[in-house]
Amino acid sequence: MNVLTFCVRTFFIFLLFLRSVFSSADDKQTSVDVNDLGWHKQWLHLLHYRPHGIFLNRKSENDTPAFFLAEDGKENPVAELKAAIELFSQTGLADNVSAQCQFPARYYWLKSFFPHWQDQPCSELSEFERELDAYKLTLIFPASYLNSPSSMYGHTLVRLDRSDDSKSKLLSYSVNFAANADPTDNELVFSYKGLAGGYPGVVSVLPYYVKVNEYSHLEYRDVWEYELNLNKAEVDQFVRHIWETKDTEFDYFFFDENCSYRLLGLLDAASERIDVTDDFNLMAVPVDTIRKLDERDLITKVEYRPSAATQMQHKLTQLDSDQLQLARRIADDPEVLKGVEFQRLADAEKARVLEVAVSYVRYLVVKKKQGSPELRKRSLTLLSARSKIPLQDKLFEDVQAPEIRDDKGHQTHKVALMAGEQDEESYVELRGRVAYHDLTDLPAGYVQGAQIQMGDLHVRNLDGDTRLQKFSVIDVFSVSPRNEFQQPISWRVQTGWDRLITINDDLFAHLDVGFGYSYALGRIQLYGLAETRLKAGEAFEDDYQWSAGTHLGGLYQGKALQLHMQGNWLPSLAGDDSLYRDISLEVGARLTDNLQLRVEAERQLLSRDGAVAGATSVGAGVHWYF
Amino acid sequence: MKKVIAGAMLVATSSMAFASNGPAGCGLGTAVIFKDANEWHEHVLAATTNGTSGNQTFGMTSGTLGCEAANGPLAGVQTFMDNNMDQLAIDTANGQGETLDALAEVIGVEAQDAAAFRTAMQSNFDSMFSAEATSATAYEALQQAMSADVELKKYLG
Repeated sequence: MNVLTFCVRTFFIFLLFLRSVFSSADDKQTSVDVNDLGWHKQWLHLLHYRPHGIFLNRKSENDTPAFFLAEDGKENPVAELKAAIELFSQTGLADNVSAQCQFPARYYWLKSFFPHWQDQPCSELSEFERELDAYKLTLIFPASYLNSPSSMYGHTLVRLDRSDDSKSKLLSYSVNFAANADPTDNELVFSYKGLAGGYPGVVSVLPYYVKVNEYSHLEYRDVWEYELNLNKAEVDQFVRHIWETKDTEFDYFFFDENCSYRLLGLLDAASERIDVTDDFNLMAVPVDTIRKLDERDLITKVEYRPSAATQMQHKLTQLDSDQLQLARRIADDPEVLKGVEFQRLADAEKARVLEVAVSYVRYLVVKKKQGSPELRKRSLTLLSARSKIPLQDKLFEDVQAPEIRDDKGHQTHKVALMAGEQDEESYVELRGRVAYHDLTDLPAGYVQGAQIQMGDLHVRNLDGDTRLQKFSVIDVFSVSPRNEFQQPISWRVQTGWDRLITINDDLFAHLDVGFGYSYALGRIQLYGLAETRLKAGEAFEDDYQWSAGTHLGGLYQGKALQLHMQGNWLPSLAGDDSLYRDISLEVGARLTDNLQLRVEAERQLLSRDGAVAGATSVGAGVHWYF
Repeated sequence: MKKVIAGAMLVATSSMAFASNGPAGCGLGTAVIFKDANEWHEHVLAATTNGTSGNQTFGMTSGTLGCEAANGPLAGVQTFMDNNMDQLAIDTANGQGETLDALAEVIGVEAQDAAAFRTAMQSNFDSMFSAEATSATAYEALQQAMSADVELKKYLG
């Protein structure tokens, strides 16, 4: 080969090279199959697509037309992709005008397929990113709060932490998904609408202190904080995606498309390696979403933030009984501060007594809703007195985090197999419960004295005859002991279907409501409720009975052993006029974290016109949580 | 209170009002301490659907409530005080606490002056947190307390 040929050949190779460089844009574009890319998992995550309905058609869970660039973007991801490609590739646009500024997460992800795209100026987005200053994500879990149905499963939100750990967490921003409710709806309407999807769901971004003030100080909920191991690129993409959801609405359904589910959807959109929403089809219980993240090794550090109530409880244990009584008297009447009993205390003691007195007054205002100008003035008087003591140390030991984290308790669903004798006939019973926890269940990781059951089904085969024994639609029982400083009401509500074990064992529908007091005796909780029950069914004369009476019980919830003893006395008010009494005992023993041995015994008595019919049932079996 | 919180939600440092009364419509400076317990349904709102009401869902959208930009080193302090009056009162009386630390951070107090800041706050509790105090008067009292201290006055600019 001579020099000329070499040069010519080199020149042609160079030309080919140039051609490939300049046409790489077009080649790349056509080499990306838009029809394939439109169904890419990550693209669907960014658009919040999910299978819906019987035919499992996939469409987006976002309800706002402006969330889509294509007219049919909600059902057609390929069309949405094509619209995005067209708008993202435009150049020379003014600040904040480009579609890139509206959908930066989509733009950023698609750019890896179309690297020739040019970034357009988006100063509002940059300001947002700068203000949020997000370096890592922490999942926040306010624990369940018994007194209101929709919150009973807890809640999750995400906090955007900054890189400097010494900076105050209160000033970090948090991302929250919640139903945008009508503030004039009452509690029942809330619960109904929340369950049935009557509210749109919106993403909101607020400083963390707003949430802490709400959860810790207003609602007295403990909070668990789970740090996630997303890298900086994923965190950045999360922030961009949050910006995309601004001013848009998602479906909100209490059971499956709730706050926790939506947050997982936001996490899925932020990172290709995260696909957590796949695990949640029928329902998403917040604590289960945490368990899934843990299973996938996405959780690094866990911290516990006790509520104001928990902190107060803890402080009470650090004062002796004289000091406690003094604190209570000061809280009732600040004049006691001038008396010798307070004045002769050392500074540190004075400060501690005052701090407890203040906690108690705030508790009265917030929890007991006794807000009044008088209590307000009292709070300020006590605080003023405290401020005169020049001590700035932390005067109480920190609350220790509970040994078992809330997500480490028994699993959410349960099946049980029991066998025994009812009225001298043997039976076998199969039980299944959708959620969540009863007073005799393994207590680790759950609020003491709190019971919430939904969808609890008992099917009993009695002497060859199989039938529905019991079905609880909802069963809530709150046993909260009263003490010097806190006087909660214990209460219970249950509705569903049941059978007596005596004669007249036809299935009946029922609604039970009870209110009362509970006291702690060491580790045992004793309670007494005034209870009323409405029953309807053929088991009763006139096909119904309305009764009211008392419900007494004693509860022990230990790690290894659980005991619940109950007795009811319910004379009739209307309808069938028989008197109902019962006494029962349930004993549980821990086998493993998710397996419990149970023994039950019950005696029921029906009396009318001097005649008494009674029956006894005894059984034992195994309960398995999964 | 949910509405008050939502309405007073301005965190972008560029939209702070410096004047003690605050421009109309901002709601800045008007928070009181230990405002009486809410309407029960507002409580329920927070408790049940963990809901949010009102339009201020992106709390840091700047300028939407028509507030003037603030300049000066204490931008952000007024808003923080607006939203944390109760907890600030408690922490100030105790001379320590997470909310007090957060306030110090917003002001920009450095580590070596942290103790002096807590002392100045605690000893001036009465002028900051009284029955008639609002977050605006508390903010002014805060500035006065800081200007009286040799180390702290540098943060006032």
